Amino acid sequence: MTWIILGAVVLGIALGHWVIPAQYIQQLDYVTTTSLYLLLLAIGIDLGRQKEVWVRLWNMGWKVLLIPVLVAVGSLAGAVVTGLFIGLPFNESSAIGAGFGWYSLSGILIAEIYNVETGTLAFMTNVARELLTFITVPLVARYIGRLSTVAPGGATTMDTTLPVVTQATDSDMAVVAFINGSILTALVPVLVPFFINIKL
Amino acid sequence: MIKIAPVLIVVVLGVLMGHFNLLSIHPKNIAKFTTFCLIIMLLAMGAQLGANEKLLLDLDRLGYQALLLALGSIIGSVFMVRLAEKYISRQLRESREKAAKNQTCHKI
Repeated sequence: MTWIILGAVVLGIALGHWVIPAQYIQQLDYVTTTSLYLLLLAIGIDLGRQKEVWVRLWNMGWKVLLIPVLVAVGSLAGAVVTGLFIGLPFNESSAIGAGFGWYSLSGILIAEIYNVETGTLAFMTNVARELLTFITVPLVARYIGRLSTVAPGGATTMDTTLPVVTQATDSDMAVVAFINGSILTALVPVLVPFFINIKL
Repeated sequence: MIKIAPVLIVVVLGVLMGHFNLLSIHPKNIAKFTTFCLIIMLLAMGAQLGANEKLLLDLDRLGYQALLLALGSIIGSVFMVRLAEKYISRQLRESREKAAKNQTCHKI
């Protein structure tokens, strides 16, 4: 899936650069906006359907919810502090951090609401986060702690990076990782538009 | 240009439709539909990027910024979870023990 996504972006860049005439580029906004709404609706349907998450959550006790909250706070703070060093305004760095590794949605949301440049940066940042997750999870499991293994992956711990977490720890962590990823996934479409619209 | 309210409305609408199963679409078809929308959108976004000469020249700067931002987010989130690791582990163990105890009570 990662390769299909990256392939689509590269093909898009090539088409935009060499094939599509300049007067049609403006029209692409309608295409992205329409497909974004359809995508958000489908994501919502998928989230609403996952009733087993709530059952698992109930069995684990509400304290497991602290983990995604801490991951969210840490991601936002880490991105904002880094943003200060590389000269990004608060709204951009926090919105990019609020992607929690879900590169396709966060990149597109920011490109649509704000501008293509920041959207591209969000896309690349969250791709890098997913790739770095594969490298860091085994190290985190070894040197830092069991629960902390769900932190690098953020929203991706419910699907793409779930196997890495369980391999580095045990199958008990699969439930925690899945809940963590689901909650963070649900927060992305809420927090990204919220932070990018903040004007300081 | 879109704003925050329509985004939220569409997501909430979807959640309600999914929760009450208003459209009985097979989950596999939803997944296929999501992938389709995603690819169309990424192609269009890529094309906008490819047509923007200024942005293309900037890709290496964006790449290094992206790497730093990703590292910052990872370090921040690992740090936060690490701080509470012991507390959450204990709570999870206790609720698991409580659940196990309740189950044995039911059996008796």
